[in-house]
Amino acid sequence: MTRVLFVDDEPRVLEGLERMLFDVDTDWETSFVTSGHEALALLDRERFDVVVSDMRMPKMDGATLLSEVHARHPELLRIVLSGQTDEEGAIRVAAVAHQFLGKPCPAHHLLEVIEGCLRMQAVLRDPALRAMVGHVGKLPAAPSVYAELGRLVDDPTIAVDEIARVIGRDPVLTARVLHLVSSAFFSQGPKVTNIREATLRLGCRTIRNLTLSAEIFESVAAESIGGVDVEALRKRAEQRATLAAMTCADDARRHDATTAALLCDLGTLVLAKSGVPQFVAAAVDSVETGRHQHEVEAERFPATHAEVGAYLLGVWGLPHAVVEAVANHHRPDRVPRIAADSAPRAVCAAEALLGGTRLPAGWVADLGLGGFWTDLEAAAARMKEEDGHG
Amino acid sequence: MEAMERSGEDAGRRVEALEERLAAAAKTIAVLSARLEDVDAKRGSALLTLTQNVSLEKLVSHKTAEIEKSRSELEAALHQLQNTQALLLQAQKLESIGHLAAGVAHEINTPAQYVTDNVTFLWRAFASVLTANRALVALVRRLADGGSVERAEAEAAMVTTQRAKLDYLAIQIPKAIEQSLDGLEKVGSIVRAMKEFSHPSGAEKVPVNLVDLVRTATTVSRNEWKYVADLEISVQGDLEPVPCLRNEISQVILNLVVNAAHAIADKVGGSGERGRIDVVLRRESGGVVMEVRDTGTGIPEHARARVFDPFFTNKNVGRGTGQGLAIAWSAVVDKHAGRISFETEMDLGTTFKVWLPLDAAEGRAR
Repeated sequence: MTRVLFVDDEPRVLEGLERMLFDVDTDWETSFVTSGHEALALLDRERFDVVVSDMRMPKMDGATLLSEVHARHPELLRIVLSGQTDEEGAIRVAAVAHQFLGKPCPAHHLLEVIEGCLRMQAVLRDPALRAMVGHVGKLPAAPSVYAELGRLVDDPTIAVDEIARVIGRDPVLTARVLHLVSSAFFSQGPKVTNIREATLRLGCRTIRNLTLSAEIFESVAAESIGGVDVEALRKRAEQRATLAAMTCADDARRHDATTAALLCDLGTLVLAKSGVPQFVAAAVDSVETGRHQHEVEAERFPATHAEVGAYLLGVWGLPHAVVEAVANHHRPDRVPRIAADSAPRAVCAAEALLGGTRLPAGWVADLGLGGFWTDLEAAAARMKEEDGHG
Repeated sequence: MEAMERSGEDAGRRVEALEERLAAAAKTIAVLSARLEDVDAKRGSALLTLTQNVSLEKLVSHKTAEIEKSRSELEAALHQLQNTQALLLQAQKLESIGHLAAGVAHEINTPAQYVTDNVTFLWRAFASVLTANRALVALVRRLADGGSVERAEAEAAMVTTQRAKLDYLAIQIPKAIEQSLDGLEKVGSIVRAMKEFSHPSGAEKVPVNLVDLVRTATTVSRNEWKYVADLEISVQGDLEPVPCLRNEISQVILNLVVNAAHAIADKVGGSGERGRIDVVLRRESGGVVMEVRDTGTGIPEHARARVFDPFFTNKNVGRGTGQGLAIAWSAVVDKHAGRISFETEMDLGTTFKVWLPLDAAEGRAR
């Protein structure tokens, strides 16, 4: 039984939402309260799956409420349904909300968003892991890139393209920018995976405010966190993205593929930041035994870093193709073998080229790239060589 | 003997000094005499006089031109000042609208949300009612045509009817319609108020019912005060329309109401208590008085003398640049020959009082 809690200081909004659910084909149990205090009291007493809250409310605003929910009930999905808010409030709430919708929100859209979030529960089935992902706040961007971003946003003569280029080199910055852009506050229109377009939509000023507020991105003082070398992870992500781009002939799919490839190891950062000890042990184990990390993870946990990352991106509202690609980047067996470009296939191929996955027989042939695959292998080999020198 | 010798020497020296001075004076006299002779010789020259006169005229006309230039520079400066003042007024109005924009958007988007949801509901509710209705009509028609209906069929029709949840709909459909109409009315009144507020005044004063301006201002600013205060408008006795520039006076009222809201917000904080804003209008000595009373923090002693100063503010960044009351003063006193004043007590609240004359001439006479 899925339980959804709606919070809004205007009782008519709540009545409207309740009526809107009449005859709708869901099995939800819904509750409606008019204040943040009531919401927290109810959440302490009863189990819920989703909370949908307004921003502008007297006594406790939406950002404050969702911060409390984030701290006390991290497993809950947190959605904002806002009449209007200023940028400062939007940034504050972007740190804790999974999705941000603007009023007036048509019923079908609200339902789609909630259901989309709930569907992610099938990607990451373990509730404890979902709570862990829900709890994570800031993720670490690679120090070198974060520093460069800081320099660029302070320079008023820098063009947006340059900033987009820098953001596109780091998984955390990319993920966060895409998360914000999929929020109704910062942009309208269809979803983007194109980092340059996402950066344009957000604008330099907003990115500067985000960087300065340090509520969304952070950098790590040390180069590793929870045993994970953040810079090394970033570098590999960039390599994977390059290879995935090469695999995709179709322009539109290439953006999905590049972005997904960049974000594959987001789950690793989440696990590292959360300090899950078995995870660190798995990383050590895989190095010692020479096995693929995801294989060791699969043995020890209910899920691997792939599912963890996919779940986070999914509840953040990133497009389905990206979420699927990230979830399956070590699972070529799960990727449909049709002779058409797709982000999941490109990403799987890229991961395999980097040596992170074994491909089943015939998989490469099914890609239909012919001799081009050899070129890709050569490119991957060159990257490895550069790594060796670097 | 010595004394006499000494005084003798003194005298001698004195005489020498005097003789020197005499010689110098004689020299001076000689020079002056020579000059006088010179002048005498020249005095009679017409050319000299003409030259002197022409120089003088040149000097006068040069000086006149300088004064003229200063005068036109002054005029230009005055013009520019007036333009700047007009721009400042417009900027302040836009600033206050911009300030309120997020609140106004919220006030419009909120009813828009529940109207959308209610109408979505009505669509489904209608489909539901129609389904139930059709099931029953089919059977009744058969009976009306002289046919018969099996018990099982009747029961099936009742099941269909029950699934339609008609009892629930009977209560919710009228509510949905009523609340939606009400919500749309709210949106309409906000949009109307915004239009009125933004509409530029003419250059001439026109008779205006001040209550209308108060209603517009309180509607536009609702999101600023509704969370922290109850607001009431009251009219004591009869009110005549007052000749005024709509825009300017609307701006004044808006600023006073928003200030009142902020003062109360500062006092109640997040406690959930509510303050009061009372806007009272009545006739007084040849004009109309409008009082805006709040139960807010009050104005501290050190600020009271500077309340109407331009750019004076004790508010945080983002809550206004301190132009509101300076512009209010300029509008009420300078443009309408009215009066604006306030009474305040710390922790109890503040009352701002604006008096506008019914007759501009009368206002100036006072």
